[in-house]
Amino acid sequence: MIASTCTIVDMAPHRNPMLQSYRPGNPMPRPRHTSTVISLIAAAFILVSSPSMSRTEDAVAAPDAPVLVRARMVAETSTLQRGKSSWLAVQLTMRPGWHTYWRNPGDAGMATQVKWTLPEGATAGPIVWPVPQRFVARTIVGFGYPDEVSLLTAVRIPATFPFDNIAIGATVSWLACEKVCVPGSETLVVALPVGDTAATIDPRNAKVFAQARRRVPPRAPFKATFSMDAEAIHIQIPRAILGGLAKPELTFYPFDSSIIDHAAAQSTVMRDRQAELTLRRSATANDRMKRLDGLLIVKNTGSQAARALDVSASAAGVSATPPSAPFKTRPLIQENSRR
Amino acid sequence: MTMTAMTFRAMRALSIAAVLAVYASGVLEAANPGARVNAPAPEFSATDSNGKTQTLGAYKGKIVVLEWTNNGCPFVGKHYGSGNMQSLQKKYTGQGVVWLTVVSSAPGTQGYVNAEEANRDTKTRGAAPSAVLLDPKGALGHLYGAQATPHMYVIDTEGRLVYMGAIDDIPSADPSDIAHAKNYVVAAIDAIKAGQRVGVPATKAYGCSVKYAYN
Repeated sequence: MIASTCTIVDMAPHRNPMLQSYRPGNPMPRPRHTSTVISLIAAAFILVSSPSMSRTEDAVAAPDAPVLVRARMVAETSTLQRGKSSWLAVQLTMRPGWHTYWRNPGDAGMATQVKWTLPEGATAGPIVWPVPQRFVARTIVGFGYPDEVSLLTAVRIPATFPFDNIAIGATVSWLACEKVCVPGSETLVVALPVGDTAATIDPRNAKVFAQARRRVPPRAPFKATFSMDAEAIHIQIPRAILGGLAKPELTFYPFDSSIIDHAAAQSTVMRDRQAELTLRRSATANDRMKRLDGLLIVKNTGSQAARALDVSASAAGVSATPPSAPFKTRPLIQENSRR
Repeated sequence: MTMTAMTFRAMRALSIAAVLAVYASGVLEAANPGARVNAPAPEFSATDSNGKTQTLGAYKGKIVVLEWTNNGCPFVGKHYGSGNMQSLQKKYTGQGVVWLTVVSSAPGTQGYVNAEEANRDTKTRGAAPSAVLLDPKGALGHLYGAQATPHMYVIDTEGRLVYMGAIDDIPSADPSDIAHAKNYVVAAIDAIKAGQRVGVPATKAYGCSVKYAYN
């Protein structure tokens, strides 16, 4: 972004000789790399990644514009083990008042994206997203992160990885918004030794990972179902899990931004054995949707504390009857303004 | 740490109750009160940048495009900086389509323009809308449920809303994506002209939030 952006034109691994490590059927001797080589790998990355500024960013960013988002990438371990996964964190630190976006940015905005550049055979898993905050500007809802966010990703090194070092590249693109929005991107590199023994924890980064994991929603330890009609989506969960709450309030943040009207009130009805949460469906929701994935936010009315659970509801069938009194509701969240 | 171990830790966190600070301001209300695809498009009356009153009803029999804009939004910049929006405006107004660019930014917010500034923008960016509607109170924006800039609406010759949503299928601020994106507005207009149903009648718009007034 602004001060520190670079956009990669083509960083496909096959174009980068430093990353071209192993081809099946073409056994290579395992070179013994040294730490000098690590810096060479990193240097190659920087050279490859520096040439072009994005036109969009040029258009919106003055040369002396303040840095809105600082990006860095750290590894949980100081070495990586062949045949195993290791965790990396892309940490974004936002200028006060600014935020970046969750996987579902809401009604506007744009999810942060990470494009990985890995040596052949190495793979990166999906981003593990921390629980976002919900922002409301009149009728427009956003989901994102003020202050700081660490996006965790597991990177797996193949058992046959022929080198003793690896450079992992990540081109991170985000949209930073306050009252206005500014897109940014940066290419980050981590270079680490690779071995056959268990990876060792890097104590310098322990705090980043511990904090990030505290914000990652756990998977819901129960089954959820959903049904749809012309106006609404209903999510059913076992009532028992709300047992400890005097006046439970449920809110759903879908992972897919096109399913519900994010600004509409969400209502919960208690039945015998189930709690049913009703959401207003959007014009873009798909009737044939088989699963509804998202975060279920559970809280007690009036309380600030909330639990976020990662829920994957399965389709219980599409109901032909419209719901009775679907939106005779209070706003679900007591909007506690921090700003 | 393995994925399993992490999930395990996360499960334990359930009992600890991760505290989620939810903060927001403003009123929760329906985002989209009037506009529904395949239903009559809501009638409106708005003042354009030349002081003329524009109503939807006046354009019965013509295809009407509504384009929400904000001259400071990078997603709008993607489509104007590349010339994409202007060329769509020129192409379709040349074919008799009415193209109404709408500015719903409130005074003091990004993208707000008075009549003179709106006309200057049109000139400097070489735009060719039929008119620029000034909507500083957000009435038209809220009527149609416009959420983003750009947010696009296509109304057919019988006054039915047949498309609402994104301009194309690649939600980014990068102009290099335009060449290989599928433009939903083009698809909708072409379908109307061919007497066909619009294949994709609603998508989620992408871009900056519309900078509505807070009152």
